[in-house]
Parts: sequence; C-alpha cells; structure tokens
Amino acid sequence: MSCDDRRLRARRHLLLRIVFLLVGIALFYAPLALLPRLFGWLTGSPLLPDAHRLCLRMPFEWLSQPWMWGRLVGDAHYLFGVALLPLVALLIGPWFCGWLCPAGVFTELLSRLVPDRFEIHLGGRIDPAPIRYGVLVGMLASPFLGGYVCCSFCNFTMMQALVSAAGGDFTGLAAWASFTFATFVVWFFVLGLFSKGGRGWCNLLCPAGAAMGLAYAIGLRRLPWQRGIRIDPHSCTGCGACARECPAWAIRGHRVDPHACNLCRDCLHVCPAGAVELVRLPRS
Amino acid sequence: MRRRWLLLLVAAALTVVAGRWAKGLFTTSEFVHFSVNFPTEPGLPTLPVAEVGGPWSMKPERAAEVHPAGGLLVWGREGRIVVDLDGRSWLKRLIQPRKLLLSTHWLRNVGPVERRIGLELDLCGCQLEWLTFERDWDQQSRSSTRAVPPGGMFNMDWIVDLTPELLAPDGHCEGGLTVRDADSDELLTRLPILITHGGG
Repeated sequence: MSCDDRRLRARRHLLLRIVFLLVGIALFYAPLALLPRLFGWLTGSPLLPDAHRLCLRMPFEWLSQPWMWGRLVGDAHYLFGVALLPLVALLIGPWFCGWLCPAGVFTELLSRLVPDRFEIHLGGRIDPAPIRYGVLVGMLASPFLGGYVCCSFCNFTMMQALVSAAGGDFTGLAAWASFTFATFVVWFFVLGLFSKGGRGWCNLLCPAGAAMGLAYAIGLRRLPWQRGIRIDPHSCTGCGACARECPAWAIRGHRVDPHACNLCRDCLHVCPAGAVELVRLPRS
Repeated sequence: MRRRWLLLLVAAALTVVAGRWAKGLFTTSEFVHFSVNFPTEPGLPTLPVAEVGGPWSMKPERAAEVHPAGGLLVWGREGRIVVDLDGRSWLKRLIQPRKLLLSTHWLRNVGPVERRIGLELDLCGCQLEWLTFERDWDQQSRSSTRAVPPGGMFNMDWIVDLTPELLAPDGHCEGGLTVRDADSDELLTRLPILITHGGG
C-alpha cells in the first residue's frame, strides 16, 4: 500500500471516529439521550433521560446498601447499562470504549491537537490493565470500607455537563465539589489532552472500561467468533508506529493486551507493512 | 506477575482512600446528600417500617419504631442535616466558595396513600436554584405533578448561593426543608438544616 493510500485510509478512519463520537453523544447525552430515552420508555421511568440514567457505577454502589436493592429492580433502566455494555464487550468486543464513549473519544481526539513535546508519554512505561482492574476492585470495595467512589469520580457524567454547556445550559458546572474539580483536571487535562493518546483516564482509572476489558478478554478466549488485534511478527518491520499510535497503551512488541485494547483500530491504519490485523485469534 | 498484582492492590487501596475522602465531602460540607421521609408529622398514618424498607430495616430493633421526623439520613445517620462549611477543602474555597449543593434523591413516601408533594426550602435568605431530573415537576408551584406512590421516591437538588454573612467565621443558619401535600397543603414533614462552621 502506498503512502498516499495509507494517509487516505487514516483520514477516513479519523472521520469515522468523529462521526461515532457524535453518535455516542446523541445516544447517551441529553438533550437527545436516545438510549436512556428508550430504556426509560421501556421501563416506565419517571426520570428525565440523560447520561445519569445509564450509570454503570451506581448499581455497584447499591450492592453495599441493602435498602437500595429494590431500586435495582424498580429502576430497571440502570440494569440495562450494567448488563448491556459488558455483554456487548463479551460478545463482540469493547466497541463502546473505542468508538462510542464520548468521554474517552473526545479527549483522545482533542489530544491530537496538542504538540507532542507537551504530552506525557506513559504508553510502554506503564502497564495499564492491573491499575485499571485495581480501580475497579477499589470501587467495588469502597462502599463497604466507608468510601464513596461511584459519583465522586465520574468523568462520564462530567462530559454531560460539558455537552449541556455547549448547548447553553451551564447548570452542570455551577456547583462542583473538590473531587469534581480534581476529576476534571486529571481526566481532561493531565490524562486527557496532555497525555499521549488522550485516554490516560480510560486506561488507568475507568472502572467501566475495566469491566468491559475483562468481558472482552473472556470473550476472546471463550467465544469462537470474537476477534482481536494481531501483529504478524513475520510482516512486522519493528518500526513501533502501532505502539506509538495506540491510545489504549495496549501494544508491547508484537503483543496486544486484550485487557487494555479497546478495538479503536487506530493501529491498523498506521502500520506501513500491513502487519496489524483484526482477526479471530487462536483460543489458546 | 507479582508486580501486576502489586499494582492492582496499590490501585485498589488508593481508590478506597480517594473514596473515603470524597465521602467526607459528600455527606458534610460541599455536596451534601440526604434522604427525607414523608409523612412523619404526628397523626398521619405511615406504613410499618419493615414494609417500606430502607436503611432502618437493617436494624431489627428499630422495626417497630416510627419513622424519624424529617427523615432518616443516608448512610445511617439521622436527625437534622448539618452542613459544616469548615469541612470544605482548599480547592472548593478557592474555586467556588459561595456554592453549595444540597441533594436528596430519596424524598420517600412512607405513608399508605399516594401523594403529590410540594416543597419549601428556607436557608436564611440564600438564593436557591432548584434542579431535578424528574419529568413531573412544576417549577412555578414547586410541586410534583405526579403522585408519589407508597414506598416511592422523588428527587430534588438545590444549588445554594451562600451569603457573605454565612461565609463569615461565625456564620450560622438554621433553616429547613418542608414537605407538604400539594393538594391539601397539609404539612407532611420538616427536616431541619443547619449550616455552620465547625459542626453543629
């Protein structure tokens, strides 16, 4: 494939990512919030549709609060989020993380505008999967140990505040707590705009991403139709372009960590040798 | 492999520590969440505590008791709400010192009949912005347009613009949230809210 062809493919891929970001915003965030609207309609919820209604975190918090167990059934739309996204990751991969999650894709795309010399390069230096799983474990344990993590450090609903602000409604920005400021600075700036790949938050601190990464890794081992990224060591020239491009910091040498990969497919479009492919992997 | 497990444990421990820090601010000073029962006024019928469910049903010795006036607060505390402005972190004091968020996602009907509710919040003249993610809310009359069924819940948030007097070191406000029946105007409950410096 010629250099021009590769550039054209990469440009098309970027355009597609932007389109999916907009689709993600329409699906999850008010004013459209198509998915919360659909689930609210299906379950007869009296609540207005926005990103909160599909929260993957609160139901886990409620597990530690027996008086909220009834709500897991009573407000069934929360169960849709908890069940649906990891189930999709299990069956066909973490496409939500790689393509649809506005909080992740937005910072990733924005970070491309930041000159390389201003960015923190953590990919290849940090092993993201155990940290992310640790955050998931901590989030599940926290309510039992006197903590409150689910809403305190939620960049997903913070993105709702930004989307609403873009539409002229600044209510979501009007009264933040210290942990909200901290989350914003870390998610948007430190691990977002100024982190190579723009997805440091997703890679290290997102418990929902961890749940989907785990589901995907299981699916990759157990389900014959599940596909994953593979680097063909015979075609690979060792230039390292895929590892540099990978926003999930999932590539080390010829190995792609399924616990970290979010199937964004950026790596496929930068490989000059065509050595990166999305294929059915041997189940072993 | 050992390094990966170590990373996982450290990340989990730090998450719990962060969660404990956040919860302190969530319950006391910057972003105060609480629950409210209604009705609790004397003479108004209520469902048996165990039947309604809730944090109190975790304590068997309380099963036969009446619902506490004003509500049983989230995370096992009850009585009045105390907002301690001295508990705010330097970050909050620096960026949004005048803004406080009060929030109840659990205005809960513990009575046997469904009710439309009307709300009044008095906080010593502080300006309030009323927010809710309920569809059925009339901002003009500050009342729900749907009846909350027995055991059902309603939610409301308030952004409080603290006055300079309240922010002063000796600032103090004894206000409260009143819940009325929106149809009959009958008083259902009143939850005292104390805003102070250094705890109540």
